[in-house]
Amino acid sequence: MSSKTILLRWSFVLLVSLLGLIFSLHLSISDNALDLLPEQATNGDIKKLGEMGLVNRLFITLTTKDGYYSSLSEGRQQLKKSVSLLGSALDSSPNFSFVLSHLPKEFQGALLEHVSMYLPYLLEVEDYKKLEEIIRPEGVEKKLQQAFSLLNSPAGIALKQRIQNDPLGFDILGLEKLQSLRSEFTMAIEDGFFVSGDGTSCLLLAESVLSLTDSYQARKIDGELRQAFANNLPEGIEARVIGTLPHTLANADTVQRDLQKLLPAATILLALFLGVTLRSMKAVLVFAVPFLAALPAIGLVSVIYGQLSGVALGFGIVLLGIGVDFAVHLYLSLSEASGTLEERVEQVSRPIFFATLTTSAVFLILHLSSVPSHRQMATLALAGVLLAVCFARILIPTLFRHSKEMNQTASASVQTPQATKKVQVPVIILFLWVALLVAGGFSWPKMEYNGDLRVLDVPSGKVMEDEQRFASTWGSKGEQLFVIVEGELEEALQQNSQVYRELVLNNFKKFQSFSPLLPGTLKQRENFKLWQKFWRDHKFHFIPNFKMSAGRYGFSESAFAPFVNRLLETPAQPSVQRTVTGPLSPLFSSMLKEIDEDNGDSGANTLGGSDNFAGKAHFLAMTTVSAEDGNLAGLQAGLGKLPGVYLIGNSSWRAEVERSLRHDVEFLSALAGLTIAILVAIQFRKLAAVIAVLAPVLSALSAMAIFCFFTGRLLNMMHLIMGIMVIGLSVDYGIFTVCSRLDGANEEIKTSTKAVNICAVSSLVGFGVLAFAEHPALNALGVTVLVGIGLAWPTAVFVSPRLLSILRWGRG
Amino acid sequence: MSRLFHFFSIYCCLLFAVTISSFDGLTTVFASQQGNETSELTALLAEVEAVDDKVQSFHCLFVQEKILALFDKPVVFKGELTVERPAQLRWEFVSPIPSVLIFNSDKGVRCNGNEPPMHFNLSSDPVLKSVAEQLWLWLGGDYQSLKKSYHLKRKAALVLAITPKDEAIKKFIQSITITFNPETKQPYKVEISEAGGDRTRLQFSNYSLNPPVDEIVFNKCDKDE
Repeated sequence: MSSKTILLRWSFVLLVSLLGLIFSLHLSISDNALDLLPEQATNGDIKKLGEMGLVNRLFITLTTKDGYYSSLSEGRQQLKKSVSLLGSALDSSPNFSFVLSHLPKEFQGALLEHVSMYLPYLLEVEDYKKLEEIIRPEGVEKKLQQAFSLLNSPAGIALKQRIQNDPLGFDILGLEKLQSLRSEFTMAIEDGFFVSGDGTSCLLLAESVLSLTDSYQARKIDGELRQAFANNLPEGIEARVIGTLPHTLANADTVQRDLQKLLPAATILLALFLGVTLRSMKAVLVFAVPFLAALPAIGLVSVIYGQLSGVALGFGIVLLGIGVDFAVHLYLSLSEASGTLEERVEQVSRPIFFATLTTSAVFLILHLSSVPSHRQMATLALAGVLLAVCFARILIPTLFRHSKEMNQTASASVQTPQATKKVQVPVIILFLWVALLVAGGFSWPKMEYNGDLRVLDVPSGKVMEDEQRFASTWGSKGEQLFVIVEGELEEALQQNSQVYRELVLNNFKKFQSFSPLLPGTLKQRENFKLWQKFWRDHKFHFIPNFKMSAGRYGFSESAFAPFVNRLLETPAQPSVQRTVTGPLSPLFSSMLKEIDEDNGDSGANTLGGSDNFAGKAHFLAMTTVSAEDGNLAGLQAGLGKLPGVYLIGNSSWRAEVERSLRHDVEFLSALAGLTIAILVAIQFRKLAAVIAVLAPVLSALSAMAIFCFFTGRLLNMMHLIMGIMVIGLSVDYGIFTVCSRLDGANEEIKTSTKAVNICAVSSLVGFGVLAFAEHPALNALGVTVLVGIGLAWPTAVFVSPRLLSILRWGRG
Repeated sequence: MSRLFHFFSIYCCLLFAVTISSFDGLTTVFASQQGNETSELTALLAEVEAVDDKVQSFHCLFVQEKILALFDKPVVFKGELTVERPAQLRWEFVSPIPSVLIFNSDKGVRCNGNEPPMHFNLSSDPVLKSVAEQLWLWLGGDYQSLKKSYHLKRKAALVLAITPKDEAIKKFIQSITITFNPETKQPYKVEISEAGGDRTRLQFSNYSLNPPVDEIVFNKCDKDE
């Protein structure tokens, strides 16, 4: 090969890589744990939870350090001051959309005013039974006596106006509706602050604008929080944060720790192994060439997708590593076998073409996955493998510019295809292989999938301790369901009222809904009709009786004129805008969100920041329900009839993810298996060869099934990704082994076996080392390769040739 | 012309001088009056506080008369008051309708007749918190600290008038007038004028200073339990 040709070839490849690098620079990477979930799950439920701010919500507990303050009241004072300061600091940051540190001063008054003013629109059928009790003569007598006492007590001055408006305590019926807003957390509201039972902790809620499932953004928020803690908390107050943030950070730290520990180990082991086996500096180039394909592949993917998941990028490059196998086969064939350069290239081209075809088919099939990051990964790996094969074909022959560098000592006389000869492999190995397949077939149906993201979660000791402290301070919420309704404001409030009705109908007692305090317009009208009917029926008896009783306590004739007028007049309907943006906004902010559709999926706004109340803006209203309460089936059936209502529960959501993943695993594995079988059948056209090629794949799948059966491991999304890689690698081992047996001479068999050995060992060292990772995702990856390749490799080396030999021999 | 101008200048100078001296005189009179009032107020507060410093607790009887637009005629309640400074107070009506209100630091209990006691926390009950603040205003004995939120004025020898600075308090209370007992220097009469013209008059008697007080007085409505 002339120097000019070599220069041209390298220039071309480097130019393509450079172009790829330029395109890659525009790539936007999304490092989000949700990228690992099926589209249906993330587009539906998780998206809605994200829009409600639940995914990016932080619960910050400030606690006084034991013994730091001289008295509980001093500690409590410092605590409240710190919460105020911290709340203001976070509120002023553009990275937090909603911060609830304490209720505003005017909150209680505003709440009373709201209930008192709109009581006729809030009371429901069951409230009128209680009202009927209150307006009985004995009930009136009792309440008036209480009012008389209260007016004459030291509190009389402050309560006089309230007693004039509501001497019988009707408003209490409205205030009872606050019960529906009570969370399952155990806390007291002191001066508007959320204080724990023992008075040593205060709770603060904050919602991040940045995605907390994204480690980069989570780190940014963590930095801001630390800064805010340092600036606003005195020495005697400590802060603990729970929510998505600490989990994301703990996982990112674990992965980083694993990679820092394992990557150098893998690199050293690989270098040692290749140094011993290949004994040439060219080997470094052989391993580098396919990775030159990574840049244009990433560039291509960035043009197609615009944004690429970090997971897809990482694992796509790993999958692209399959291209190394082709380069190794080509290199060994050229360096160790006999014949001219062109002859050797031609001879090895056939198995490389077959292997590329099957690998590409597997990656094409991965495009049918319901997990978006799998599809991006498949595109990246497909482009990368195809480019890697091309680059290897272009560049590796340039390493052998003089034919003397090739093995000229190889005997040209040995040309007999070896497959016709009986291969000396002990029969016991075949029996063992059959036993492996039988055990695999037995274990396969017993494999279970776990779609819960928590299996890939490694919370640190600190995270777990903080969560335990949180549960002991505030109580544990247990399994929760979220009912989210979507629509224009009126529609959302009306649907939210329907959800509330369904909860009551199905005997749910533990739930959090703002509907009783802010029902939809239709529900308000319905309630008001009840009020009007009630007083139409009772006013003629009640009002004279009431005035007579009041007179007995010395009250003047006009003392309760505001109260009587209230019963007879029609008050204005509650103004939604005023209610949700006024002093009561903390009640609604975490449960009613406006969706900023321009901002896509992360565009939930806190209330009050928009003028769209009268317009067509979309809103989400949420109700949280304890899953261990009431008739869930009835609720599901009832909510099923309502449009725009989402019932989201951890268990149902997990079930959906599992269903989706199970479908992916079964459908994609079957399709990949069938496609590979068809392609191998078309390529080799002989049953013996087809079985021999597929033998390593069957071994890998059986090994994985048996491993899961014996260790009790549940499959997760990582196993699926790496399972596909293992299938791709295993079939390649089969193809190279069988091709060399069918077409090659002794040298070629030797070379091919050596190449398979090198490829398998480098995969085992490179990926298998991850089986020692602490992080479950990396561990799953390592274990899958270790087990799959660990069995596929000896099968390709020992079983495939034997099978080929027996079957061909058997057929004569 | 120049003479006319000269006279005019002299006239202006004189006028100016007279104006300045009148102003100066007025200011002097005003300042001296204000100074007198301030010193009298200071003397009154010092006199009351000197006794109060020695009074850690007291018990007394009281009669409350409420003149409210809500009632056809004034309503009279009788009761007992027990105070243990700085944070314990028991306000008990014995007739015509018995009731008890206890403040014990930031907690408290309220009883009305035979109804079960209602415990409360001042941090979570803004109404009772403001009631406690108002009561401690004239029962706490620390009158100097009132100056932050109230205008204080000495109306007579042992009469102190308090008017709130805060607009929110003004909505309820116009002024409080406290008349001190010449001997005990404890509040003898208290009159609270409300914004709408309603009034509350309290008259205290039978003072017992620094008596032994059982803790149960500030914990339970029924002292005999």
